[in-house]
Amino acid sequence: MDWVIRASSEGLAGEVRTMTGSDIRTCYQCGKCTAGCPIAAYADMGPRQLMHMVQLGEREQVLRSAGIWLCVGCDACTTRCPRDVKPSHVIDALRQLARRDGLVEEAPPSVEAVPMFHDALLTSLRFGGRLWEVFMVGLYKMKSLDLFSDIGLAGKMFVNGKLSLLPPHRSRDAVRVLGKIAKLRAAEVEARAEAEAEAPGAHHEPEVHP
Amino acid sequence: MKYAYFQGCSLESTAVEFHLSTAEVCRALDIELVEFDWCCCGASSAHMTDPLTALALPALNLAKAEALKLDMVIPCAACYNRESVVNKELKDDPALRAKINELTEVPYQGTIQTLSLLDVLANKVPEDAVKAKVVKPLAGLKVASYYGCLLVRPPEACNFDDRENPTSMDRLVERLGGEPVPWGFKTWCCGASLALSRTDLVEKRCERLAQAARDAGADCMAVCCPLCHANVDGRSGDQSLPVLYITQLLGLAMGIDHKKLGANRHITDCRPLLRERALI
Repeated sequence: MDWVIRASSEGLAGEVRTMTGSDIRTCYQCGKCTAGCPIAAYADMGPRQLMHMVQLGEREQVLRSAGIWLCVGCDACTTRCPRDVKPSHVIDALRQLARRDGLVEEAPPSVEAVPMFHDALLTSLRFGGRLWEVFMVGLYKMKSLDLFSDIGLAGKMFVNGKLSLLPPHRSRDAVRVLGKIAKLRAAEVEARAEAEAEAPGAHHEPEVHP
Repeated sequence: MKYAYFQGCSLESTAVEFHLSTAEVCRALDIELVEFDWCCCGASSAHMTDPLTALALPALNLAKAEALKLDMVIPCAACYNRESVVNKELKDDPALRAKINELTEVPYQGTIQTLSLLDVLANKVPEDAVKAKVVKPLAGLKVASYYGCLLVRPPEACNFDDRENPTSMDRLVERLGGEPVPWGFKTWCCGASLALSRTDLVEKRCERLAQAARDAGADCMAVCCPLCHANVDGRSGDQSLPVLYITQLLGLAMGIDHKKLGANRHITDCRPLLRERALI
């Protein structure tokens, strides 16, 4: 009789494999990733645990965890993993899935500001193709309502000539390409909503393209 | 030596010192930096949010440098990381490259290299050429070289130095007459992009990092990344010690005016230390 551990080849693990090429079954839970992780000590789940949860198919818990948002993408885990699991790539995929499934708003309070920061940065890029730091920080402060921390630091940076108030040179190609991607994604959201309306709760399909 | 210069977003603003010192040092070493119409590399936010954005932005830059028929030199560790990772992905996968080219409409053929500025200064510029320019040896200045997380990882794409114990900055410091201190936190992440959203964690990491540098006997830290600099310079609390870009140390040893290197703009003032060592 052939034994098949479905949780590791279908569902969340299957989506992760399509998105990253990583086969989560190869992880043998050695813990090297969590040992080198800068934020594991502060997270509900470090990379090792997150990989195990993906192996077990625990989609809801993983996509609502704080761990996936605290990951800073330092790649210590992926660099040291003896099994080519690429935990940092897997966590990127989990963040993308959380966004796709509308779970960003349900991120734990301790990390809710993290996706807001990324949104502020990417919004700044939509406008000019280069990061206009003061604009980005302003956007972030408005979203997160964390208005007053760093005022001292910002003041010092401004006085030292490290904060450019003027917007940077506009990269037209980047603005054009980002606009194109935004339209693509909006079309996907619509298509998914239609598919969901026709067949509610159907099997989650991963994006075929990167 | 001539490269397409990928300045990067931070070097226009919060890391202006890195740009100033890079320009000065490259001029002194006859490295020609050719500007081009670059855009943001996407940093961490792009690959954490949308895989197409993460590929398309660096691809645009690669295509533009390729049009100049020049390899790209990149000061910022994050930009270097993103451009190099994407460069490898696009080179290894022609189907992916075709797809991204179709999206960007500025095609990249996969023919150029992306180099970290540190790689160029430590490994491409001959050792003697650097030593010949030293007029103010760093005279026993003890420097903890802090590489951070993105300069030497992932090793498939960022491979100019060792992934666990890199030595490029240490060797440069030696050539300048300084003393690189051995320490175990070379590639320890400072907390990176959590600087605003979880400042508490970045402060914890940076205090520990600065403490480790001090415990190793360092007078200062050398860095090659705007975010490492901003974080350790601004958020190390009472463990704070002077943090300088490797290009600033190079410039000072070459006798360049510290103001031209932006060394008067740091949050943690490095000038008292530099005066004490007659580098200013």
